[in-house]
Amino acid sequence: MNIMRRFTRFPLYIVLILWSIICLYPLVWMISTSLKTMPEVTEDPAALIPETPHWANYLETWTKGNFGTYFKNSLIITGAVLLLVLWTTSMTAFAITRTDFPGKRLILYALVVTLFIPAEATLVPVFHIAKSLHLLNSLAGIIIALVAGSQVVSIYLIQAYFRTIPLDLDDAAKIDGCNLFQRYWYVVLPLARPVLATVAILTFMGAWNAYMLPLAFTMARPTLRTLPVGLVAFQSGFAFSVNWPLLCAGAAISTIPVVALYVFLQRYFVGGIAATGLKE
Amino acid sequence: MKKIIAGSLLIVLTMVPALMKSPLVAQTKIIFWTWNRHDMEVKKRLFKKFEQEHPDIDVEMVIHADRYQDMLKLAWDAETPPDVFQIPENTLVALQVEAGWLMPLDQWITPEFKAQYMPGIFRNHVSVIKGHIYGIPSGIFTAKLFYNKSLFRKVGLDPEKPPRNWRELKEYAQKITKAGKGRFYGFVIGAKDPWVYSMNVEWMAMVAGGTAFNYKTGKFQYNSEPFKRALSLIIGLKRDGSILPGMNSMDDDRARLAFCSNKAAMIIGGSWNLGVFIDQFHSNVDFGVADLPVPDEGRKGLAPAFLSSQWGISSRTKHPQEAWEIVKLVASKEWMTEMVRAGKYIATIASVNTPENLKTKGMRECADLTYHKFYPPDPEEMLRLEGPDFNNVCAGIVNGQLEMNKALADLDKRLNKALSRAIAEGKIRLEEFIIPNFNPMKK
Amino acid sequence: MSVFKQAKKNWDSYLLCTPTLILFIVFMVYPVFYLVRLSFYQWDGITQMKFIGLENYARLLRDPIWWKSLKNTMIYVVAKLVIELSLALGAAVVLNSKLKGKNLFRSIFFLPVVTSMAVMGIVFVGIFSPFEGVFNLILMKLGLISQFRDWLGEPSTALYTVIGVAIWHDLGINMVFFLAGLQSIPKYLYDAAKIDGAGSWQQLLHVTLPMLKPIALIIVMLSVIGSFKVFDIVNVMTNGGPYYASEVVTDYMFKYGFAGRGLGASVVAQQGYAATIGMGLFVVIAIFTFIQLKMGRIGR
Repeated sequence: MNIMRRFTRFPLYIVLILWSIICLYPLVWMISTSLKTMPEVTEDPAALIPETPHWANYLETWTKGNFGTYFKNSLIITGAVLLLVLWTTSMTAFAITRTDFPGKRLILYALVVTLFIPAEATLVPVFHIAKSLHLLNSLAGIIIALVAGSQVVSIYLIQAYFRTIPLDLDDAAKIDGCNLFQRYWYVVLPLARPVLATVAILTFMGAWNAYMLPLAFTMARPTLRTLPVGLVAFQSGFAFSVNWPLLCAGAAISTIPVVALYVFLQRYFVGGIAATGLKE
Repeated sequence: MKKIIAGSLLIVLTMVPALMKSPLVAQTKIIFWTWNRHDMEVKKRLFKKFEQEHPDIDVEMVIHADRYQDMLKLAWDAETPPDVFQIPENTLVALQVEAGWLMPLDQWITPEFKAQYMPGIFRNHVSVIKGHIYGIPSGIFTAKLFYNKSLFRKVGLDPEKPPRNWRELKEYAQKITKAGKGRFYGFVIGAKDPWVYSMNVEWMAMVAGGTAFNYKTGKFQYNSEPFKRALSLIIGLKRDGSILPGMNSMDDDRARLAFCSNKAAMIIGGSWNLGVFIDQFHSNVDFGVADLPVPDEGRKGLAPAFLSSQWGISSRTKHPQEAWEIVKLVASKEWMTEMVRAGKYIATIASVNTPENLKTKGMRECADLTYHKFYPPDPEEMLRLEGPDFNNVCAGIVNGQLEMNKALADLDKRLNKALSRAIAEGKIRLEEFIIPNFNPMKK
Repeated sequence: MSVFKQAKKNWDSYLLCTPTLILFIVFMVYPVFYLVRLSFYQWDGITQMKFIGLENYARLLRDPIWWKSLKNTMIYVVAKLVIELSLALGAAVVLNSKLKGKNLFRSIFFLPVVTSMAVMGIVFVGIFSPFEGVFNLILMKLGLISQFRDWLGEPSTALYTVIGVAIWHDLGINMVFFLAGLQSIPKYLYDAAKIDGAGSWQQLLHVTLPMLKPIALIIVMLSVIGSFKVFDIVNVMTNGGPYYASEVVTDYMFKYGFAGRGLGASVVAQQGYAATIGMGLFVVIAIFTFIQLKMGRIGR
C-alpha cells in the first residue's frame, strides 16, 4: 500500500513517536522511581533520572517482601495454566471444527454466554466449588480455576485458526488410517503453532497478572501467594502504600518477566493472530 | 496415539497431588488474624518472646490489612477459620455471634481478671453480646487534630497555639495557604475512599453536639444542625482553596504523607496516626497534637474515643486453651506496656498509661481523655441500607453533586426505613439502644 | 440417523471435549446458577440467607446509582469503541505499510497491554496528581490550562480520565487484531485495484475496509463485552468516585458484594443485591450482543 506517500512522513513520525512516549513513560517512571530514595521521590516525583541508582531497593524488596517465593509460585502457576489451557482448548477446538456431533451448538452457545458474566460476580461460587473439591490453599486449585477461566477466548481463537487448515489434510490422514486423536496430534496441532503461540501469550498475561482469584485462594497460606497478590500485600503490610521506590521495585519485578516474554515471542504474536484469520 | 493421551493424563495426574501439599500439622499451631499493620514489628517481637516461654505453642500471625472482613468470611466459608481473630469494635460482632463464629470467654474471665481494666470497657453490643463476653478491648484511640509546627512557624503562627475553634481553623488554614503560594496548604483530606468523612465531618459534628443516631427517640438524624455545620466547614475550606488540591484522588495514606512532607499544615485523624508518621513514614515532621476545634460559640459535645484491638476465639478451634493464652497475652499488662511505649495505642489498663510509658512524640496529648467520651453503640452497622451511606453522601455534598438538606433528609429516611425493617425482622431490639438521658457532654 | 446413534458414533469427539466441559460446568455453569439463585435472596454473607422473591429486582429498577453506573458504563463502552478502535485501526494501517521502524513501533504500542492495571493504576494516580503530577505540568507548559486540575477527582473529568488510561492500556491489543486482519487480505486484491487505477485512498475505502469487516465485527464484539465488564482500572484509579461520578456496574456490584471499609472495616455486605446487579449487567450485555449480531447479519 502506498497510502503513506500522500502524507509527508515527517508529521506521521511525530505522531508515532509521541504515542510511543506516552506508552513508555509510565513504565520508565516506574523503573526510575524504583531506583530512587524516598526523599528524592517526594522532592521531585517527575524527574526521570535518579541521582544515583539505588539498586539496593530491589534487594530490599526481594528479601523483605518474600518475592522469591512469590516468583516461584507465579512461575509454577503460569506454566501449568499455559500447558493445560493449550491442551484442553486445542482438543475442544479440534472436535468442534472437525466433527459434527449432537450438542455441539449448545456447547458453543453456552461458551459464548459465559463471556457476558463478569469474573468478579462468580468469585464467591467458584470459591465454594473449590472448597468442596478441596482445592483451596493449594497451587493446584488456583491453576484449575484459572484454566477454567481462560477456556472460552482460547477455544474461540484456536477454532478460528483450525478452520483455515484445509480439511483435505485430515481426509488424507484418514485414508492412511489415522483416528481422530492421531489427526489431532500429528496433523492439525503441528500446523497450529502460530495460534498456539498467540494463545500462549494471552494466557500467560492473564495468569501472570491475575489478582482476585489467587488472593481469595491463598488467604490462609501466605506462602502460596503469587506476585500480584504478594505485591499488594507488600504494599499494605510494609509502608502504608507510599514507599514508592520499594513499591515500584516490586511492580518492576512483576512486570519485567511478561515484557521480556512478549519481546521474545512477539514475532509469532502478530503473525499468529493474523494467521487465525479471526473469522466466524 | 493412545500412548500420548495416556501420557498427558499421567502428567496431569501426577502434577495434581504434587501441588496439593498437605500441611504439616504443627504441635499446637495457633493462627492469629489481624488487620493492623502499623504495629506488626512490635507484635512479631512479642510473639517471638511468648513462643520462647511457651515452646509448645506456635503462633502464626496473618495480616489482612485490606478487605479483612471479606477474607475472614471466606476463611469461614472454607471451613479453615483462624483460631484467634481480631473482631471489630462495633455492632458487627453481634452478627458474628449470631453466625456462631465466636466462643464466649466467660469461663476464663473472673471478676478479678475483669477488674484490672478501666471500668466500662466491656460494652454491650461491642464486646458483650446477650450477657456473654467475646472480646477484651486492649487499646483506645482518640480523635485529634494534627498540625505541622514548622509550617505554623514559617507563616508566623504560634506553634504552641493550634486552632481552638472552627473560625480559627478556617483563618489559620487560609493564612498558611496564602503564605504557601502553592508549595504548601493549610489543610488536607484524602477522600478517595470516602470513609474519611467520618473523621472530617462526623467527629466535628460530635463536638458540635451531634450524633447520627438519636439515643432518645431511636431515629437517625444526620439532617441536623451539627452535621450541616460540620459539612459547611469543609465546604468553606474547600471554597477558600485551603485544602491541598487533589483531595478526591488521594487516599488517607497519601494525605498523611503530604502532611509529613510539609505540604499541608493540618489533618484530622485518630491517634493511630502517631505510629504511621513515625514508624511507617520515618518522617521527622515537627507536629503537634490538639483536641478537635470546637464551634465558635463553644463545645457542645465531647470528641469520640474508640475502643480497639480486641480478639475473639473461633468456635471451631481445636485448641481453646492455647487460643485463650494468646487472647490473654494480647490483653495483658506486659503486652500493652510494649504497645504503649511504641506509641501504638493507649492502654485499657489505666496503670499502663504512665508518663514514662507515653514517651513517644504526641502520645501524651493523644492520651489526654479530658474532652473525650466513649459514645454508645448505635445500630447503623447492622442495617441493610438501600443506597449510599453517610460517607458517600458527604462526598456528594462536598463535591457539589448533591444538595445538602435534601441529601441528608433522604439519608435519614433511608436509614430509618432500614431500621424499622430490621426491627420488624427481629434483627434489632431498639430498646437496647435507647438512652433516655443521653448527654453528649457527659462521659 | 438418530441423535443417539450419531452421538455414539462421535464418542471420540466427546472425549476430546471432556476436560473443557468438566471445567466449564464446574467453574462456569454452576456459578451462574448460583448467582441467579442468590439474586432472589437477602444475605449478609454471614448469617442465614432469606428468600425475598423479586424484591432485589424491584430495588434495582428504582436505584438511581445503578442507572448512573449503567450510564457511565455505556459512555465507557461507546468511547472505547469509537476512539480506541479507530485509533487502533489507524495505527494498524500505518504500521502495516512499508514504514521504517514499524516493528519497533508495534512492540512499543503493545507494551502497555502486558502490564497489570492494578500496578499501573498506582503509577497513573501519581501522573495525574493535581499537586505534583506531570500531566498538569505538561498541559500548563503547552498553555492548554491556566491552573492545575484534579483530573481523577473532579466529577466532570474523572470518568474521561479513566477512559483515557483504558485506551492507553488496550489500544495495542486491538491494533494487533487489526494488523492480523490486514495481513490476511490477499495481495492480489490490491494489485487488481491498482490495475483499475485506484489510488491509495480508494484502495483503503474499497479494498481494505470491506475486507476487514468480518474481523472488525469480532473486534467490536470483544471490545464491547470487555468494556461492559470493566472493573480493575476504575476500582484502582477512582474507586468509582467522586460520589459515583465514574462508577461502573461491576465496581458498584463489588461494593455490595463485599463488606465495606471504614473504622473497624465493617459495613455489612448485601450479596443478594450484588448478584442482582450482576444479573442486570448480564441482561444488558446479552441484549447488546444480540443487536450487534443482528446488525452484523443485516450488513452482510
